[in-house]
Amino acid sequence: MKNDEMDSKLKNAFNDLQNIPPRDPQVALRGKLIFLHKAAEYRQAVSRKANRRQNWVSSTISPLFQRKERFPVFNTLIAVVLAVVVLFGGSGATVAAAQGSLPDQVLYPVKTWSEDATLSLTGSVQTRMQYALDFSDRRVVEMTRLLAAGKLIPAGVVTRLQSELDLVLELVAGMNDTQAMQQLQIILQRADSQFQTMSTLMSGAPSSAGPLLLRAHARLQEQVQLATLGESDISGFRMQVRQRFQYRGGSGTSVPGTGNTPGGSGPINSTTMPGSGGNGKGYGPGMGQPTQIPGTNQITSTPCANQFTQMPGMSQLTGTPEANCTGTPMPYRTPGSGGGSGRMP
Amino acid sequence: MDLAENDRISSRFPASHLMDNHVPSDAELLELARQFDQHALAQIYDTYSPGLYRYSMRRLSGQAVAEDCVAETFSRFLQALKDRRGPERFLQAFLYRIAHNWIVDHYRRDPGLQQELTEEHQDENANPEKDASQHVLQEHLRMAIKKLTPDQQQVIALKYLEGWENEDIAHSLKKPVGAVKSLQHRALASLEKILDREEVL
Repeated sequence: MKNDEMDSKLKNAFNDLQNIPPRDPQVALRGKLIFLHKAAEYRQAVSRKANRRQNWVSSTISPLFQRKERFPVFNTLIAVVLAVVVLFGGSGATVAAAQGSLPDQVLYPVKTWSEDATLSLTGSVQTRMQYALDFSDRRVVEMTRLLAAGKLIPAGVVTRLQSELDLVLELVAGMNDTQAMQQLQIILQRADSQFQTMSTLMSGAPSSAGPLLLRAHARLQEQVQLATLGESDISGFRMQVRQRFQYRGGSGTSVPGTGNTPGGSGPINSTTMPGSGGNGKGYGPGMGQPTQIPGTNQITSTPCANQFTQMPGMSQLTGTPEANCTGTPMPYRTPGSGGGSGRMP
Repeated sequence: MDLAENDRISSRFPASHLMDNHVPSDAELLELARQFDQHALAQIYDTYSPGLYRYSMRRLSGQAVAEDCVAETFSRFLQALKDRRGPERFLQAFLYRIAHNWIVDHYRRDPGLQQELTEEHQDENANPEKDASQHVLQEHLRMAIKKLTPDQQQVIALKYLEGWENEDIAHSLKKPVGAVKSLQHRALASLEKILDREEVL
């Protein structure tokens, strides 16, 4: 066979090979979800490692070589560690095994219980915030895995996610400006990622999962917007968070629920439920008190304000009704009082 | 990655950056991907998985196995990021190299693999006789490509099936462009010889 003839036949054969059937979009979406789920798991592992590096060395090893006055801190730490060992030592393997469990599995309550315990036993605000962020990541991963397996998402998972996001906001609002600005960047980044995952989930989820996903999606959108606001206007951010928890009767100690029921993550702990209206252990002065900051007004007529809408032509944030209505009025920021971020995901 | 480094990167490339109209470069995406940023990873998946699927289909022919190849490629990519072995640049070249290695391993594990029967072979409107002969030709070509060296297979697949430029192939193979041209020349000669011997063409 001549070379030219071979070349043209080869070329035709190559062309034939280029015709392939289209990819099944459902299979493609499933592949993407699995990929993002695995990435979220890796991110958790990496962030835990980073956290451990920073905190273990700085708070445990270093005090050993410092002056005597620091030993009480070390002793407290030892006491906490011993308490944890005594409390959880016997069932440590169960707790460890429960970490990868899903809401429809028997060990899931152990997982949520261990998360609550971790949050309760963690003294450092930054570390608590880091844990709350990690746990919120877990909720998103759980939703992804449940949907990928064709299972239903229990409402408790979304409720728990919301309470973890609330806790993050409360904790960061209580930090000083420098710390808060640093942490807000991390919060924004995490919320952005979670929001993106939720958007992906919504695009391929069955209609039965729609309302819950919408709820989580709206809450994450709100988190992004609040963190964005915080980056540009920390006092405005604090005021928003303060208002938010004040009108919910927030206490500043919103530890997520214990989730004792298999098949669900359990409701949020009563410490953050509306109705108390108390100050509790909230951050800063004036928690639980009506707050009027110069240059700001407050609207109280909006029945639900979990989403912000950027008003055209001015930097205002107004509340709009949405599915996850909590009846929390949001402050109305007058023009010239600092300005919204204008960044909408 | 420690928290300070995390902060440094996120301040340079905030994740929300990916939400606006800015089209991030591979380097930007990779920097965010190293933090396992979901935006960046989703964008990487959306950008490269369709091409990787086509590439796998052309070389493997079965939809299920092609999906396996894509899934494993992205899984190995994540593992590489976790182990800090990921690419600095040329993400596409990196991903196709992983896919190529997976395909070579796949054939090594079971050299007698037969193509699975997929729905496209059951199209009622098609001409079965023509389809069958075209299918046989495609299979012969796949088998012939399989007999080439791994590098030659990669060059043929990227050049003639994916339409890549020699420079891009060179990045994927981590070889100079001259070596790619030489591989391409030898691969074509070998292919012609194999197909001629089997009287396929």
